[in-house]
Amino acid sequence: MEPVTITSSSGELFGMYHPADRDDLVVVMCPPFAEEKKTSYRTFHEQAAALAAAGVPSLRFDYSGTGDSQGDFRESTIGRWLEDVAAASDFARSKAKAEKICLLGLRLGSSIAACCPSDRLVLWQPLMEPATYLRANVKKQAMRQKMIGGGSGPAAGEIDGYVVTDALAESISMMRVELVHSDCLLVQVSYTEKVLAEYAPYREREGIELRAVRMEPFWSRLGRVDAGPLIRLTAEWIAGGGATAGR
Amino acid sequence: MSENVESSIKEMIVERLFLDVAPDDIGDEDHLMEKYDIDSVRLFEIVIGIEEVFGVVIDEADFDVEVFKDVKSIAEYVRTKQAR
Repeated sequence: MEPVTITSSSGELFGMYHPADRDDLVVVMCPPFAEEKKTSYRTFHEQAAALAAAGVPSLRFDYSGTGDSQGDFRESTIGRWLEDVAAASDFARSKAKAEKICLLGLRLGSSIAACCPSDRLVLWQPLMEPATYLRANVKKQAMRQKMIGGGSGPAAGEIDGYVVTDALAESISMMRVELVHSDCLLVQVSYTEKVLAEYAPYREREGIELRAVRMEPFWSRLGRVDAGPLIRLTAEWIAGGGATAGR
Repeated sequence: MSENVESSIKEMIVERLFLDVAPDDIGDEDHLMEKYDIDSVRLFEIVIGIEEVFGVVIDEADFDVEVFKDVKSIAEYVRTKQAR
């Protein structure tokens, strides 16, 4: 793998490129937000390695204002991160000399990926209503504070230590995720293999393959979670041609 | 899901937290956080599970960690909520 710098409208983004033999397709990974990004780091790395082993190059990167990328987090909005994904896609396409882009996202990263143009799309547990995600985080933070006790509690609008500005909160709340894609793998990752209500509308949607994987939510676990089944499913789907295979 | 509140809570906890025990092996008064190493993130999953399984809303202002110390007290809390 190779550390790379991607030029976006908001500055230089840090990325890690995983080279591989194929030149028809390159995968760009869209991480989730805050603590979920940290705890899913290893899984994204393992996914990139699995894709490389299957011959598919990929790019991991940090949104502006996060991780090792330039930018002030307080200026972050979903619009800015969408521009980052577009810049990362252009970079990856050029780097891999690939014709097609496959976006792969988790949680909020999935919601962002779903709003970007792509030839192929892999969504891990996307947030279909990102506004709900914000409310749940506020609730989780308040409960965590009561559980550990002491202190004045998290500041209003804070998620895992990130101060979510009104502009970012509003841009997340405004997101509407309605999947319309001709080549998409939608993976429900949860405690049950029964399809959850939020994904039920996509059970038989043309161009969307819905799969349910029963495994722990690795994005909210500090300890190691074996994401092997999810990684293998994803690598096989991407390397094998996805929803359009056999048509 | 069992019709008994305590049994339903145990099934939900085992399923959602991927615990390697049978639901019936959880005692009504077992200290969940100590015995099953439940941290704040997993506790939140129990909160969400209670809301989804029993159709109640647990506000953050209303949240008391003592309620979630064992199955017996969670069940009492659920019954109180449902009775309102």
